[in-house]
Amino acid sequence: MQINSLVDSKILRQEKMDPYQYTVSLLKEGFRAGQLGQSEIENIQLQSILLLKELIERYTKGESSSVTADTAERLLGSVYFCLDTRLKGIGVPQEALAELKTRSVREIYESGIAAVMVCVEESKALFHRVWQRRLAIPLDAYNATLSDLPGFFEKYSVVFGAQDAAASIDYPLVFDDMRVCGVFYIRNYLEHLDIETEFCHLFPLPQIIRIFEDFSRICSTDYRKTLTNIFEIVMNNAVFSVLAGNEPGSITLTEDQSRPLQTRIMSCAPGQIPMLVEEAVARLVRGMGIREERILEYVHRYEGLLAERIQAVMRSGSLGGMIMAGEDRETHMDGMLFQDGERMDNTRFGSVMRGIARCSGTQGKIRIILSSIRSSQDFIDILEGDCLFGREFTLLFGKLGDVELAVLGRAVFYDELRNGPVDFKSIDFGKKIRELEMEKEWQQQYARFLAGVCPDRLTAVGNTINRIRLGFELD
Amino acid sequence: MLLPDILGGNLPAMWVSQIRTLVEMNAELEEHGLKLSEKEAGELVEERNRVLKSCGRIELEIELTRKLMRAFCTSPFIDQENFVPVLHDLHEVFYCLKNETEDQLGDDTVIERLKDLFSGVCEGSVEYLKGKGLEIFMERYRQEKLGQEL
Repeated sequence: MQINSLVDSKILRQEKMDPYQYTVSLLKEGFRAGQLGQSEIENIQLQSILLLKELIERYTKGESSSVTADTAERLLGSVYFCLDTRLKGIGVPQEALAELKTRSVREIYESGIAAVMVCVEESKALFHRVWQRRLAIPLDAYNATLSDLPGFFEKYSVVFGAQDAAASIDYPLVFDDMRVCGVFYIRNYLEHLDIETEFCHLFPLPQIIRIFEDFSRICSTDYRKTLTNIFEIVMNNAVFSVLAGNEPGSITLTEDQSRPLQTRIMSCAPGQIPMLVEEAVARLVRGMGIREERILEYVHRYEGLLAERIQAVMRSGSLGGMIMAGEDRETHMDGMLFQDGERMDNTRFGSVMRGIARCSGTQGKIRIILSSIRSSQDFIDILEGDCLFGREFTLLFGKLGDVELAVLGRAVFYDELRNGPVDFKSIDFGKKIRELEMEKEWQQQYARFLAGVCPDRLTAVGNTINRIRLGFELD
Repeated sequence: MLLPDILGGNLPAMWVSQIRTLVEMNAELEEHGLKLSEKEAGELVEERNRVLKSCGRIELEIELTRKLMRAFCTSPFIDQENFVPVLHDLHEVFYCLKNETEDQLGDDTVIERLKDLFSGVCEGSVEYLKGKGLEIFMERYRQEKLGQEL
């Protein structure tokens, strides 16, 4: 035992490595373990002082030989953040100490600065992507955080303030790693935000907004002012929706669905909840054709958390507050889908087509189409792409608003419209459907769908088709 | 706080080097009938450190003291008797002004203006410099700042 403790005392203790002051703790631990002498430590400190002197000169542009103690502390903190970055990146304290003993402090600092700059560039690229793909949800904390982040990058200085992370980040993520600091925290935050954003894009925006409106009603609060995570609300409802027997990909639940679901979950033993959630998530992933590794990893990581939260609300009897359910109402999209001018490039289009082809369920295909397509021409290309069949067209058309149906109707009733406005109530749909037998399947299915809608809907869509034909601006 | 950990045991060695640097200035000082002993140089460094600490500032070299010596050794109001005591006071005045002006003025500008005031309106009186002299200094600084903002 004595020999072991003698040997152990010479080994660097991992638990003594402070991630926020890695180099300093490495020096202290190295000295304690007898691997670093006093003169070696003083030499490293002296090299650090020389670096600080240079930074003071750069910071003051050579016009001042002194700075406030706060400024000096900040500049030194910047040096040591870069040293920490390099030495932590080595991974093993013993090897990091070897580097400290064999390379100059300047060399290690410059390696650290290079690594920090890579992180900054990666963070900027991530932010650009997250900004482009941001969800159009009026959640104040979410939008304010995204709006404030550019200010962080503008003010950030890898030379004078490498350790800074003064960004106004109010929007909470499901997983927020507080062990990383500075710009590495920012990158980590953006990576997770990117994953959460991409997951949420798998669902129609109107449904997301609807469940947040349900959240406001259920929680008696204005969701826009809350610090709520969008992924969490969407994912929870996606899982509950599967458990309620809906097709994977739907996130809206009616109160009539929520009540029996609550009864069913409450009748489970708490120990059964993790398995219940795991199976629901598996069905969700399969049904929606989710393949992207990082999203899958994130979703599976969240499973355990969701199960714990369900168990907690079961104990408190407040499961109803966790399921965002509302009144049963049609969710027609109202002219929000097509934003012409936003055609996808071939690569992206191909990716969407492959995603649809891999889906085993109709709802999954519809989810992908409605969340990915913004151009009417891309939409028609999808319809003609042999990825939907028979009744799937009907289900898809049923999700569209009057404007979207009218845009498609322009193509189907092109011949009729050449002669002027059409009275759609007097169209012989049987004859039209027969005429369309030689055309693309979607056109025939469209005519069949339109023939089956209620008279008021037919009138509304027909009027819109005529207005588009005449080039009127739509309100 | 990193500074205490890093500055640590190196400070005494730095001070010894700084004292030596000040004594080496005797080659210039002698042209003006002035001389600095090693003891006086040590006291200067010590006073400089005390003032830095009380003003909440850090300086890792001795350049400012050299500049003060170089600037004031040519003043008609400086002689061997008052040279070191005046330098002691000048450190306090200087670092306080750097704080008051929020480091907006470079060292050379502050030294030049202090020298003008000392040798001009203050007629070699450090006490007058610390009082009326500083008022004039700050008034000029405020006027300049206002002019820049407009």
